[in-house]
Amino acid sequence: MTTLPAPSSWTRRVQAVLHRHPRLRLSGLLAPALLWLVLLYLVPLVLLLLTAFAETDSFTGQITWTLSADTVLDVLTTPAYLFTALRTVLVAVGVTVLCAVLALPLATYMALVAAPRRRPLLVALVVTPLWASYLVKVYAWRILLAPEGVLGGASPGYGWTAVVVTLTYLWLPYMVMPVYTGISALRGSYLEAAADLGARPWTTFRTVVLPVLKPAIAAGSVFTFSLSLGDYITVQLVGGTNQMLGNLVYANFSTDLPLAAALAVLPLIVMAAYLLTIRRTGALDRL
Amino acid sequence: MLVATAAEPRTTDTGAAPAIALRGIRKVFGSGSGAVTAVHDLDLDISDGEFVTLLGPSGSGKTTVLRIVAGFEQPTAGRVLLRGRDVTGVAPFDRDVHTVFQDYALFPHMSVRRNVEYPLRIAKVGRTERRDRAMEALETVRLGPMADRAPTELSGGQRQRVALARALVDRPSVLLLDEPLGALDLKLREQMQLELKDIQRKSGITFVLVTHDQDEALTLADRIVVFNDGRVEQAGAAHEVYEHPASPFVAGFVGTSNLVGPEVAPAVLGREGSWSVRPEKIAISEPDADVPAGHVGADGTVSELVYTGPTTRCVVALDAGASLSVLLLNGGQRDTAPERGARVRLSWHPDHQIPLG
Repeated sequence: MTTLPAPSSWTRRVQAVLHRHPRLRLSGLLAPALLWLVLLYLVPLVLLLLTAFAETDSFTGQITWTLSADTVLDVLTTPAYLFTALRTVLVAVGVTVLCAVLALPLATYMALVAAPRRRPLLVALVVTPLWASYLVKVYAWRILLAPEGVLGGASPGYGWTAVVVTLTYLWLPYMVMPVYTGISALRGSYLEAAADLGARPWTTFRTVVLPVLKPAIAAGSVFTFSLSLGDYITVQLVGGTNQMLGNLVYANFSTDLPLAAALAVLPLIVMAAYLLTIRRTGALDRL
Repeated sequence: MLVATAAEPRTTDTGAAPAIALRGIRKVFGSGSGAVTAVHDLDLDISDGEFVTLLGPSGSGKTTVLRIVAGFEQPTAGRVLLRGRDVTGVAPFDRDVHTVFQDYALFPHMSVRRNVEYPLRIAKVGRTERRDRAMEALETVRLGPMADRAPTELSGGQRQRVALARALVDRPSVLLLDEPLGALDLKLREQMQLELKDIQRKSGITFVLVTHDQDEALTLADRIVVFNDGRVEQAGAAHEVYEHPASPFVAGFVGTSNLVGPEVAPAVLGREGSWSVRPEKIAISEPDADVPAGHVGADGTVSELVYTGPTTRCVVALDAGASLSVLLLNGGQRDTAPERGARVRLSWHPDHQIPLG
């Protein structure tokens, strides 16, 4: 002990103070994260909401900061906007369901069937596409799906199907990873135990596998659903003339900011409702 | 399907048919040069209501046999009959057999009661009856108050008992237990052994328990089947296997043995070959005491004393070579126990000399 160099006295004093005051220690640790959250997340969100309640001077195009619910009410009562919102939600639901259906067998193979030493490689292979540029991947799909392209007559052409397929490709890893983690919990004798107690394969899936995986699928769906909900580039490149909510926001961004802001509130509402629904599955504890 | 005819139930006279009959079972894992034969041509009959332990070191094939009976593994050759019905190739869910797994395999998303109800739910038993029978099963393992807990909230011993209740609730004809007490500490293990025996006796269900612990095998079983290297070395009642081991392996694996090798046997026993004498069969006395008529005697020096509470193990280096362990009961005559370095005379009846070939 005596041979150790003594730390300079003021660091020692700071350490002593922090040691005696756990709350001070905690505040010190949380401060950067809180600052980040407030500045980069809460402030822009509040500005967005405020903008939605501002007005645009129809003559000059300037924003006038008079509080008015006109724009928001306009968005909520115009069928065209609401239909676009509905289509966007349907695309997000389709992508999520497709991701879940694809991820289940894939993750099952990775977690239970493949040799343990090959698992890291499989995980890496699933995650690798996330390293590639988003635009490159969507352009690749644009070329792939071109009506006169590689797929020829098999191509669905540019449209909603192409959008769902491309988005499913983009967000699949976000579903596979939580489901893989969930299925890993079924290693051991659970599946054998179910069969042993009389359950046929489908019953085992329904009574043991699915309940254990429900939170994992819900966790993955938060990603696939919200990422699809906010997307507007894929639909531009492979969606033909169709539009999603993001396109409307983008289109009005420079000409009518309050309208764009009001439109951006729609996915926020959908996402809040979605999170509240799946909170009951316990999935949010796993994020 | 390997055995196309196996799915058809064969109605045989179940009165005479054993609960489990294994006929020429062979199991080979892998293929080509990497092939490992886990079980060699095994024939085994287990009667209805019997408590049998499969005893052997790890890798001896005992767990493979259990998994073949349960239906998790298909034998490479041979047939499995349950109460006379050929079930070779029949899936686990179509066999009237339940397993208690080494890791218990309690479903983590179900409460204790829902776990126990599971086989009844699969069998489409009504809600109230299901509940009553699950509670009854939980009462027999004294876990009634824990019914609404999650399995993760229970201790190892409690999980073990839930697994037992779940496997017994719909009264299978055979219960297989794969090292069920392996993860428990000694005290709990001894207590659970008594409970298992009690439950087996009361239920009358055929129990087949796999263990590598010879004490457990001796304590529990009506009959012990000793496995070594994929073969049955001996099958018999506990005292048969212990007192009359059929092979050197059994003599060494079941209980503690004093080995008298061929180089010292002529001098110590006056016989050729390898022999074994159980430590508790040897009497120890003063160096000048008489050897009882018909007994074998040998002189030596006490080289080690190991006090273990109820008994003291006394290691004696014989003048003729060999070193023998003697088990002394600490029954109040401690002052008569020898000291280290003391000269002693050992004696035993020749009947207790087990030939090891």
